[in-house]
Amino acid sequence: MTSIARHVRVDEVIQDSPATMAVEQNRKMPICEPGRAEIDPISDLSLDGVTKQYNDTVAVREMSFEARPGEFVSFLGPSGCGKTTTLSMIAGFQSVSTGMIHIRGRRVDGLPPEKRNTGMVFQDYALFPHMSVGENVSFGLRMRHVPKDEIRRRVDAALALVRMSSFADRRPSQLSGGQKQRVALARALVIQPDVLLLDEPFGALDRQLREQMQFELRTLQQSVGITTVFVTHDQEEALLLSSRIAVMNQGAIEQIGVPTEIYEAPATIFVAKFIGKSNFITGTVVSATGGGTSIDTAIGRITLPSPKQGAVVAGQSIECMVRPEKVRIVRPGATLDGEIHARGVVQQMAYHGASTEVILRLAGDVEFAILQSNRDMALVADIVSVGKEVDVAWPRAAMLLFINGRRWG
Amino acid sequence: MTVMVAPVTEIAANRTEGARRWYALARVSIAAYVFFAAVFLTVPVLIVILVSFDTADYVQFPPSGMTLKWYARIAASETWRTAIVNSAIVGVGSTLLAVVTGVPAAYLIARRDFRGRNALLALLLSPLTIPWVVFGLAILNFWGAANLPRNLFAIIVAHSVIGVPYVVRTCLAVLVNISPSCELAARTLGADQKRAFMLVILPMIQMAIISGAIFCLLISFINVPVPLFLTTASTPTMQVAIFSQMLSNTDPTVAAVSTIQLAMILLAFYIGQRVARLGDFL
Repeated sequence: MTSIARHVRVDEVIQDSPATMAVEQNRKMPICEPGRAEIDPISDLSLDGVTKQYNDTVAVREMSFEARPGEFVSFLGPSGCGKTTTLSMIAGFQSVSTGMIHIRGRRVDGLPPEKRNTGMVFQDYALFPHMSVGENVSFGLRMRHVPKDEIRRRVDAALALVRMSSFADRRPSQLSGGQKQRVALARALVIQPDVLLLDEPFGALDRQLREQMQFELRTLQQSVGITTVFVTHDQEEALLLSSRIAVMNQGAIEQIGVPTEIYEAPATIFVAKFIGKSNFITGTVVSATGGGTSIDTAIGRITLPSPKQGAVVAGQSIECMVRPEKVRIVRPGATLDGEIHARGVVQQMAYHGASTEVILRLAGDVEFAILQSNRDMALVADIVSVGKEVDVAWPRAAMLLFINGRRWG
Repeated sequence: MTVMVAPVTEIAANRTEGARRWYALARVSIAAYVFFAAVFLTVPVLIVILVSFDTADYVQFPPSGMTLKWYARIAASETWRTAIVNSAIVGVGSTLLAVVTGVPAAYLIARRDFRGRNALLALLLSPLTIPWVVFGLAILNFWGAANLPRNLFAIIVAHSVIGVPYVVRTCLAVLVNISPSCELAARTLGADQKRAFMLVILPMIQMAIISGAIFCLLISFINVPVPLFLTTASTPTMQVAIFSQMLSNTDPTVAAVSTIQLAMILLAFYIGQRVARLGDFL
């Protein structure tokens, strides 16, 4: 509740102060560009040109980013992309080589972890085995010399929040994975941290429990209104939980945006390949005018409306991408106007229950995946089987173009 | 196929029969081995205990009568009393010193990555591999060269060096299984480095520390060669006193002292087992 109140105050500040108008302007600009030196003094967390260098390797490169109050930001990327290093630098476990970190406008990159007021949940929960659940949760308050009766009140409230009130006297070893995680969350939240840091907290849980805990975490995070940074390599988790996702690769943010943006409009080939499945068809630009761009590909000539920004020249190599679920299998001659179509031989079919994945081999040996709901699949079941040739089609708008690894448009 | 089945089953049956015999033989051999090992370990000790209560003026077996006079003689003897007190001082002092140096060393080795970490570990564990006689001679020479007095403190230092590997090993065994995130969690919750160690790490390794300390104490009690080099007439330890008594004297006082010492060691083990499940670290 306190956080929601703070949220309101922050909004009032934005409205009242002319000085912050510029900040508002800045916010609309891309946040992830390297080297950009904008600090929003009222963001809950900001990284500004943060670099982490070990001897001659760079783990995190010129990273700038900010989290707005109440936001749930995920760092998503393959292992070794620098996401955990970034989290460690925010928490204070590792120093920054260059750059600044601010938490609620306070510069923290020179402070030890205990002075940063962050709450952290670790992958292995890191509960203290020699303390009871209640003692674990009260630890942070005891470190802060909070009066005894207030400690009791706040610990009770925190345990109630995660529905663990009746477990206060248990030892961590007597808890299940999900219960341990709830306790770890209560322990992190009870100190009313400025930001909540989550380091792959669902990694150790089985699938069903993981989904339940994800739902609980999201509900809790929203009701408490705490700014949260979440590190994961699980794209589904990131898409499900985040207000924004920062996709990281080789120590830098490739793209930062809301989940639909990341999925529907990936900024780079890396993001397109890392999030969800994607089909790439390589082509060569034949002509590009205001009216449209023609591309020669293995499946024939494709003509698409030219994006407004950026220009290409004839002869340039270009990657065309479409998501498997945007493609549908059609009966011969049943394609619609304005659609791109192709023909391929069914290589494999994988039944997923609600959907079926069909792998085609298109002309020019292009492998092509299609994800079709089983309701749609039923309509074409008679013409689709392994070894048969089928027609597929997808809307022009579903085709994304990439030049030199970056999306055109 | 049916032709193949019969011989295969037969072979399997034979093999099972053979294996059964082999296991029976192995069981008997192991039982015999354990029995004789136990006999060789305990019977001499039991004889010493019996002899310490014997009325005869020399060590003999079987004993001829029951008396506590040898124990009374020890209690009355200034030399023996000093030796026992010295052993206690050396044992406790060297154990404390080994804990105070061994625990931080184990922590550094488990948690920090620094140049020479493996070298430090090897150095700390090396007393396990150096013969005590060699070490005793070495420390005597060192002490002489440094012009330091050969007092109890010299023995305490020497024994702590010998005891440190036990503390380091028991602590390391536990520390490597404690997730580093426990300490980091304590830090984010507001504990500085010192408090994180004192409130989180120390309670988690306290059993290992107690176990290591008891090993130190025992090693100090049973050590003859090192104090042999370092003691003077005024600073004998129990072991040295027993050793020199044995050379000149054959009455059962030595057996009585040995029995007292045995009782002390068993008590330490018993306490260690009850408090810190010492057996886990053996």
